[in-house]
Amino acid sequence: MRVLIVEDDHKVAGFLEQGLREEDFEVDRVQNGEDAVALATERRYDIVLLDFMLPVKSGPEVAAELRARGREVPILMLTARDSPDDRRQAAEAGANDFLSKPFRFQELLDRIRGLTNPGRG
Amino acid sequence: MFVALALIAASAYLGVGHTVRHQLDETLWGSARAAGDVIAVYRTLPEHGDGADRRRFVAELDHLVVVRDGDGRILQSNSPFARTLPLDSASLRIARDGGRSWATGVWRGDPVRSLYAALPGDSVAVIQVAASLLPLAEEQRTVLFLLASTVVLGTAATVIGSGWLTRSALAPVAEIAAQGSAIAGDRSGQRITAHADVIECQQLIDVLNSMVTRLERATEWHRRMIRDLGHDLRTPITALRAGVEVALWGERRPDEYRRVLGSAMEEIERLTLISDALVLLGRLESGALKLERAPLDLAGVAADAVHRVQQRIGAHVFRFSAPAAPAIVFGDARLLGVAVDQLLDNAKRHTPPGTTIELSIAGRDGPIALFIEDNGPGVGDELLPHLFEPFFRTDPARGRESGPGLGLTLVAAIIELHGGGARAERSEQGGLRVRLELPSVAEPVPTAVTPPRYLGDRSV
Repeated sequence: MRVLIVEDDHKVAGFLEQGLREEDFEVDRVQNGEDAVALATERRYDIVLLDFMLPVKSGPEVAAELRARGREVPILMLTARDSPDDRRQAAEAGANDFLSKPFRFQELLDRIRGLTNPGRG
Repeated sequence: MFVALALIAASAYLGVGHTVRHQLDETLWGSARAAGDVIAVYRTLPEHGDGADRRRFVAELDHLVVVRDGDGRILQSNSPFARTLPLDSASLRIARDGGRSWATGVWRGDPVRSLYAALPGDSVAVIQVAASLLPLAEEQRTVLFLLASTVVLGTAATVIGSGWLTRSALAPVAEIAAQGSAIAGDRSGQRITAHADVIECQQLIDVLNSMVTRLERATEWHRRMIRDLGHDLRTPITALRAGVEVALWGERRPDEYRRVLGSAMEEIERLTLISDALVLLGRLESGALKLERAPLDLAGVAADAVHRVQQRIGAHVFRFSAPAAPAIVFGDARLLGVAVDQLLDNAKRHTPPGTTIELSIAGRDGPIALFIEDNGPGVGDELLPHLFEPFFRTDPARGRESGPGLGLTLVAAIIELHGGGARAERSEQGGLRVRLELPSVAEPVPTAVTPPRYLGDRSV
């Protein structure tokens, strides 16, 4: 299963990549919104883990652009901002789910599996 | 009020009684003189008339006149009816001796007032002129009734009127209070408008509205502070948690654990920076921090800060141009050192490696200014006024790389506590220049330490 991590904090991104690889995911990682749109348009991913606040393009802007380009890939928004406005903005941009930082790694895995296998559990 | 009215009424009653009695006495004296004149001419008193009786005497206020000898025996009278008048021996003696005397007695069950005086032209005869006091008593009763009515009605009117007046006067206050309560509930942005056109209420309304504005600003500032603080705490905690959790996910080599622990230490440093800044800001805000001020050379503070920052690993170039003469300020060396440290760290964090950061000091006779400027990418002019606000970032998306977002707030707070000011400007090289201005020792230094404007009240 291929995952794209869009996260500008290299530590958070690095640990997530390591954990997901150990769970047998194939992982790509970018640090800004523009690279995320380019990579997710070019390649096929099973899920995109998208940070809310990113340099160049924000998470909601990336999600909206991917949807505008017809990409139906599941998007899980990860953010330290979790006000109702932030959640609404993410949902309106096309994100499928929303996970507040800090989160348990197991919780992240459950959300990823829930979004990539909607028929199970 | 009732007591006051009752006292006034009693005084009036007594005063009226005294005046009427005095007038009666004067009237009796006038009648006595008139009767004396008649006797002097006619040697006898004219009869009062056949129909004279007690009732008529009372009703018409006619006076009864008798002439008595030195022993009180009646020599003549203006009416047979008058012959039964009571005699007051003491008054008779006074009149016999040439004086005048008035006496009150009872005549046929009714009070009667008599004047005794020597009959003019006669060495022994005394003239007695009497009048009934019944009309006077009735008049006094009428006055008493009127006064008592006035007291009762006045008291009732006062009670009712003062209640109405109080309610009328306080009605605007009640409406103002009602609007204030509504605003205090959940109507932020609204202001009190009730009776704003009434001059007497304007000052109260202005004070209340001004207070509401200040409270709203302070509340908004604290709300934003808490929200941003929550966000800034989550970022290092996420990195810390993700690292530790993934490390525990499986067996690791010792060097892997070391790497995770090293990363965890960095995050703990970030959290420590935030907590230190918060504690210091909290102490500044509450006024709990006591400044230890003394005359000191700001150039020495700056040189020490540059030395400290150069000890840390980095690829920035720091330059300090010490002024020719000492720049003496009256300040707390430790806190001013913290402020300069924060500015140098801030310049270092927000500029690419290799950037030159210059520190200089100007001014000697007036305020002393300390400049920290760089030739980095700079900040948009519209953002410059906001740089000292807590958690403000020039690029919100890059929050996690720009420190806790409280450094410049701390700088402004420290400088303002010293009676100075902090300002951000565009440097001549295109980067950012921060100017700290402090009063020199020659200038008067504010003695009262008030919370800095960057803490709590955002009204300025």
